[in-house]
Amino acid sequence: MSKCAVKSGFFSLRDCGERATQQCGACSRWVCPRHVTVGAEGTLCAECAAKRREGEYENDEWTRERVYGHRDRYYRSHNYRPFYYGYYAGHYYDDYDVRSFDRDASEPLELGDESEADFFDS
Amino acid sequence: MSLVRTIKLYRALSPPQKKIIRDKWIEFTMPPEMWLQFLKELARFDKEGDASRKAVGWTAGIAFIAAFLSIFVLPVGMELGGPVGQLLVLLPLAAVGLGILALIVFFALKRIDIANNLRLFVAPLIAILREEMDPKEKLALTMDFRGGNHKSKIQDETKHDPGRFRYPKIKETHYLDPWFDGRAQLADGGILEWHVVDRIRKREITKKTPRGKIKSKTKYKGKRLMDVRLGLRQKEYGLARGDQAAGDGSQVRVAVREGESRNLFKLRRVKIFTALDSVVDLDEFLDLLATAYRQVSLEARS
Repeated sequence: MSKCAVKSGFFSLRDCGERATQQCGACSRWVCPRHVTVGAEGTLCAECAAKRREGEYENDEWTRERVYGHRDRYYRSHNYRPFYYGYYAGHYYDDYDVRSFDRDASEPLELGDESEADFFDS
Repeated sequence: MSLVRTIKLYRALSPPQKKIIRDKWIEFTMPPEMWLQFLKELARFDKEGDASRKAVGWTAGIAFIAAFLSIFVLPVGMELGGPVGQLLVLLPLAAVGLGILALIVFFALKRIDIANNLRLFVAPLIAILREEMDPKEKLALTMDFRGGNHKSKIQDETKHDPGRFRYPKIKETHYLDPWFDGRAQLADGGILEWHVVDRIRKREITKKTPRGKIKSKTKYKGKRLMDVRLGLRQKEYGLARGDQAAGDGSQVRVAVREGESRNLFKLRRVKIFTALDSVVDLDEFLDLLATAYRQVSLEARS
């Protein structure tokens, strides 16, 4: 089974990593339960759902799909190029002009604990 | 009825949530998902409470106007007599009673109100940080919503009083309100800290107009300092040189220090405001982080 195609993150994007269970009715990408929205328009990934619902959110409704909608608008209005921190970018993000790492696929991203002192070592 | 919904929402809050409304102080460390769950009900209550307060305020205003106007029908009521006449006589009293009741409810709602920054800035920021963080990582937040003009935040007071019956009299009070701190470890290994401080000046002026009337006015002016420190690992991000370190044209001041394992970005944005309840623009805060990320490159790994 393939992995979820939605990218998490805001300033630097990364692969969701969860197992994909459903296919988006708009972009045909496979997505995990966390990134799927089932509504009147059928099954959509959080990003496609955000694009369709643009501007229709209540002020206090900050769901994942709204964050992705905001992310999309922020990139465009602020001319921001996010980093991509993963292994399978896909064409969905071509418009973002992402800055990708030339990562060796065999080398996992280390996210070990950093000591407080390390943060202030500079 | 908005007021009924507000009361129901308040009753449905948990004791820690009610304590937050009472103390207007939030300090916890928990994963972003839990934060959002915790704040969701508070935000809903606050939104409904704001709508109720507005409605109750209007009710009070209309009731007092009705009371004033009904004074003119009082003689008619007295003349008419009978049930209709009695009703017209009681009308001003009923209107005043309704107005007073509405005012009591208005101030009771005001007492349990929480700053709009919670639902319009903090909650969206947490939702964005949820994307930037590993789900198990904890987000430490401290929020003080007691208000920028809380007496404990007074820094100094100055008075200009030329004497009895002499004007203008000016009283200035300066407040320091550090109301929002946070710390998070990001999924890319970065460590983020921020500190939002409002410096507020309250100016109360009493002056005499050319017609001899004494008028008082209170004005607020504030400076909001948004300070962000972002430590990005050199293992993942190198410092961009020359053209790569593209600016975004935003009014963000930035200082970079190269450490042994991290590059530390210190970013500041200053914003002037004139309303005490001014809400932070989410994008203006995000610009601070974006500025740091614009100044790093991919070169470190190549």
